[in-house]
Amino acid sequence: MNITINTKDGVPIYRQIANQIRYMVASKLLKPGEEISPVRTLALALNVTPNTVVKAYDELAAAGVIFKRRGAGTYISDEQSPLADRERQRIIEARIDTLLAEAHQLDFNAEDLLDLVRERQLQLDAKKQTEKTAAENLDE
Amino acid sequence: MKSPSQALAWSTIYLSWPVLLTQIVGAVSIIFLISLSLDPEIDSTESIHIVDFVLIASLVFLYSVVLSKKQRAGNATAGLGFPYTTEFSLPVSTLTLLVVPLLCFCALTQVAIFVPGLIVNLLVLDAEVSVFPISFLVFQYTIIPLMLTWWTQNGLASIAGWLIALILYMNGLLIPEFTRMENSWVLVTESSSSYIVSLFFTAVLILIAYFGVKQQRSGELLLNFGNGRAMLGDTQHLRSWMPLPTPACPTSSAIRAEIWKERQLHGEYNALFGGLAGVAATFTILSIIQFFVPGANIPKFSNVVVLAMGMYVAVCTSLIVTLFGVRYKNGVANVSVHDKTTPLNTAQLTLIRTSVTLGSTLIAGLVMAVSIWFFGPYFINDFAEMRALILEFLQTLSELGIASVTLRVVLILFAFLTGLLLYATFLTWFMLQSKKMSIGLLLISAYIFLVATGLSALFGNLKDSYVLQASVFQSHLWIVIFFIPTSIIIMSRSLLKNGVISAKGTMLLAVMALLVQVLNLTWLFGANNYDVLQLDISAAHLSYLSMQGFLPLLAAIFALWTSDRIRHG
Amino acid sequence: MSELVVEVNNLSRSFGKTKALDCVDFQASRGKVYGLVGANGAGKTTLIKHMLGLMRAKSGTVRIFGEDPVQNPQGVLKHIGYLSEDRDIPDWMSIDELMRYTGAYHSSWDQGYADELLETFTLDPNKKISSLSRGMRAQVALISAISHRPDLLILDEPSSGLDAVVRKDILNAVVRTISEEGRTVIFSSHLLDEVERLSDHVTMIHNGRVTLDSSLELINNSYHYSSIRFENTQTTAPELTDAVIVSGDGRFWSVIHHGSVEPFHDSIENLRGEIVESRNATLEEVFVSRASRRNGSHPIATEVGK
Repeated sequence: MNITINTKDGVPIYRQIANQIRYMVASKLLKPGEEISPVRTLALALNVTPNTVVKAYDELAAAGVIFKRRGAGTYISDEQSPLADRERQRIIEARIDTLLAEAHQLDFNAEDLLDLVRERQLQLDAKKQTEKTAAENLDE
Repeated sequence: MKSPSQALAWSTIYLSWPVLLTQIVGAVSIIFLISLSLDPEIDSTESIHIVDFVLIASLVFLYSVVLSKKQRAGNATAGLGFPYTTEFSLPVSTLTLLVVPLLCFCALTQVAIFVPGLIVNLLVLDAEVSVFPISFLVFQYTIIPLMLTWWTQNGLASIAGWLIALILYMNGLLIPEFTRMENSWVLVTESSSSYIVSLFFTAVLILIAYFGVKQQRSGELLLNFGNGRAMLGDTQHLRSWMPLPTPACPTSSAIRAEIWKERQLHGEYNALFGGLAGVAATFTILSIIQFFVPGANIPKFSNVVVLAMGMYVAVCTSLIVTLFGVRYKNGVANVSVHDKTTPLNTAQLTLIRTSVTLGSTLIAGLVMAVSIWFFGPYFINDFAEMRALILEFLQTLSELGIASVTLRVVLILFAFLTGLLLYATFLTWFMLQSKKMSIGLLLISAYIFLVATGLSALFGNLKDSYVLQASVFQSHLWIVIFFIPTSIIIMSRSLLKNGVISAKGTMLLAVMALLVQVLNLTWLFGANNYDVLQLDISAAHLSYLSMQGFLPLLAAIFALWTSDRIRHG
Repeated sequence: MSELVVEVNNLSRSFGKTKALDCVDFQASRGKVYGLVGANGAGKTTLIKHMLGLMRAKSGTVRIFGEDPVQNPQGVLKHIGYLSEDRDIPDWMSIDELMRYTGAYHSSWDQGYADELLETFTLDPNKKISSLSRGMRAQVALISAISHRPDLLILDEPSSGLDAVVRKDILNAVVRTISEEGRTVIFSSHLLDEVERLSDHVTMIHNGRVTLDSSLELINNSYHYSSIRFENTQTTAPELTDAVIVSGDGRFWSVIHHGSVEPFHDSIENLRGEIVESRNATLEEVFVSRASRRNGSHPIATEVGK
């Protein structure tokens, strides 16, 4: 698992771990039924106290994202779909909140924002299209 | 190692055995060397005293090196107090921490006196020995100073302790009163109860030390003399113990500032304190010296002087041991980077340090001489006689004429300072390169030992082979004679190459060397002297006496070379 | 058996005129990690020395595993592994000799574990301690403190003066010790990053007094950082409810505040300001704010860039 910790923005470490695992589940990097690192291993890898990892795992277990098989490791829960969807939504919503706050600071209202979003999406699609045709031309 | 006791014993012995070996071999070799060069006519009473002196001196050497706290001490510890402070945070009882090293040191000193003593007795003297009294004496003389050093970190409390011990000693309570049989090592005491009294007081001392160490372990002071700061940080230097007036550091030049610093560390106050300590030690041991000469025919003068000289050597050693800035940190000798990067050139630094330190030794000597002159009557019975002898001696000197006396005084001064400087340099190398130096010393001592035993095997008794001894001695003398100029040349080249001395400096040194040599030759071949020297003196001997005029130059160059090596590797 | 491994009650200690500790209370329960935070000279080492029996409690009491460490050094110290601030290990020994020497004092010494750690740190057992670099010295000192698997591990500034690589290694070794059952760890540090990574509980000491003593979780949840923009220029530091420290100038101010958010938001509104950004305070921010704070609850304003 590729998890990074930082102590710079005040988010508790256990929450950072939990959030990142959630993200990996939501973006299909971790599949249902897959085993994740045991507490001790992750603690050593991240250089954090095992208690923190335990807390993160407890939170995830309570939310149903992971489950512990007695004496045989920790696994991503199978019933992920509704959870995954909720998680994906939660993550995007967090991003949107940040965007809205910034927009407000820079004096954009929601209407301007939506127009900009559509515009940027069109530009992105166009760019992808040109790249695709260029690649096809090369193949010929 | 399975237990704390074993661990402590291991660590004590690990640090001590090289010094012990050096002491034993050194003492035996020196005794052999002396008996090789002595006239066989010499009274056997003198030779036993020489052996005594060498053995005691070697014990003092061993004691001061091995029991030196600095060998074990960590970064921030006071000069006094219990040395095994690192072990305070390990699960071991305070009693074990105190007793195990104590017993090891006692065993060490027993070995240190009996092994060389018995070797020498077997091969040279063949005198009678009473083992138990000597063993007891050595035991007491090991434990008592050890406990007096270990029980507190507070300077004033420590001095109070030593004073009380001195009073007990003067009343014969700490050491039994022995009388010595002539010409032997047989000691007899009047009553066995004096052993018990001594042991009682020793036990009391150990008990006090135990409580003292316990207090040190839990960060307390046994007696609070208001010097709470003795607990925190470094207080290795005299000026932190005692409230002495100190002048401010001059800021006008680097040289003056450095001189100020040297004077604070090794200057007059140290000399004063060292001198007084030397006097105290002389007087306390004097009682033992009293029975070296059972009869009243031979004046005690020579013995007192010899003892005082011995103590003076110890004082000088403590003053010069840091001449090149070598200190022990966590048990390892090194020179601090601060010292190495002092913004003065090596020659200046060496000159400043040497002058201040050697000056201190002279002051200490003066202090000792004056104190003995004035306080002697209280401690020595026939002091009036001694005084008379000294005055008589001075009288005969004055008859020689001003020029002659001045010449001798100047030469003796040079000889003394040269000897000290060479001694300091030698000690420094011993501390920095103890392994190599010990091996070298051991080899030399082994060589002497082999020569001596070889000769005695051939001739049965060392005294009978005097003529052969003399030629063996002379042939080795030539080695020394050629060694002096050779080493001067080699080291000077190194110094010039590294730019330690300038052309001007070389000139200066050369001029001074020539001056000293002229004085030396004047003395040697002067009208008054040729008949003092035996007319059948060997060529080797004469050459050596001529060459020794260059020893001061050798000492200076060696000191500079050492400084350079220390600073630049 | 009591769950309290360390119990320090009302401990005070002065050296001459300086008060090193002032009515300090401290408790450590089994199995948790305690971070002691404070500036150099704040009193952390003095407190630690009291726990080891290296200083007798003159005012107040100290109990380790229910016993007085001064009365029973042998019994108490065999459960403790101690890493001193100045790594006080004998320079004249080799690493191997130090292991054997220290092992002789602890019956629970595990030489296999020590060897494993030596290998992890790539230390040559035959090297003399005097020839080791600072980092290696700290590693050796740490190994000799944890190889007997102590119930209580006390580390005084374990990573101070060390480069990032060595620091990581040492942290890792400590994490490994923590993950063993029932071990309690107390460590002092002024490196807040590692305090946040390792501690369950944080105690801040400033000028000999405990200025903060709570679980890390509580600190995280109750201290916040907010960045505020005011409508009008503030000539003096704005007075805001529950603010611990306020800094900034003109219309833009940053605040570290403690406690519930509602009153704080109200006080901002009253002064015609709005919150631009708000998040949990980092441990560093909490520490700095508590350390600068004088007695009482008045916030201190530091005005920046006048």
